[in-house]
Amino acid sequence: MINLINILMQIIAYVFLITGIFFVLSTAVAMIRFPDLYTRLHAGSKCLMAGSISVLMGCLVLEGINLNSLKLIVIIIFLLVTNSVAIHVIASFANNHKIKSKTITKNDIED
Amino acid sequence: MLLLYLILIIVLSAILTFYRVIKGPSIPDRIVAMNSIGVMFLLVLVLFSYYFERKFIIDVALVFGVFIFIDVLIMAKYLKKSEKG
Repeated sequence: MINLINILMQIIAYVFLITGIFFVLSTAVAMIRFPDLYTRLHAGSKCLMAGSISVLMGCLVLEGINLNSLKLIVIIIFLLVTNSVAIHVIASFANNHKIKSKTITKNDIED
Repeated sequence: MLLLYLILIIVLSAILTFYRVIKGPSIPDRIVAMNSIGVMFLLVLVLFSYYFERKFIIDVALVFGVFIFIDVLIMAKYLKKSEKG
């Protein structure tokens, strides 16, 4: 019975890991193929955070409950807070440098 | 053994993202790409601690997460000031 629960936890952990790594790989493809800075910001904030949180959740399921899993939870909360702040700072910096979107039809910033 | 392949896929995606660092048309492109590479390397560190079964690497990953954040903030602030003056 304990063996069955162990195998089930391993399967759940690897499902989390493979889902997260799919998101990380799609972030890399998005960084190459997106035409514009602001679309790349979108990929770098949301898609990357989905991937990294999913990978860390997989490690959390592999670990169980002890001190290391507390550190993993701290990393998850810290990434959730700081990466969105960092992407917002970069977006405001790009707006100060007057970088325009390539596929824009009507510029709301300058009008 | 599956864990090693997952680490290799993350390293491959970091190498693909490095293309944007080389060929980014503007400075914020390069900063966003380096931020993504930093988070990917943090994931590689966390997975290394399970692959080699050395649990202290999680502490290294925790401090590295702080460094990524401070890095982006300092670059954005410094470049904004140099644009003005």
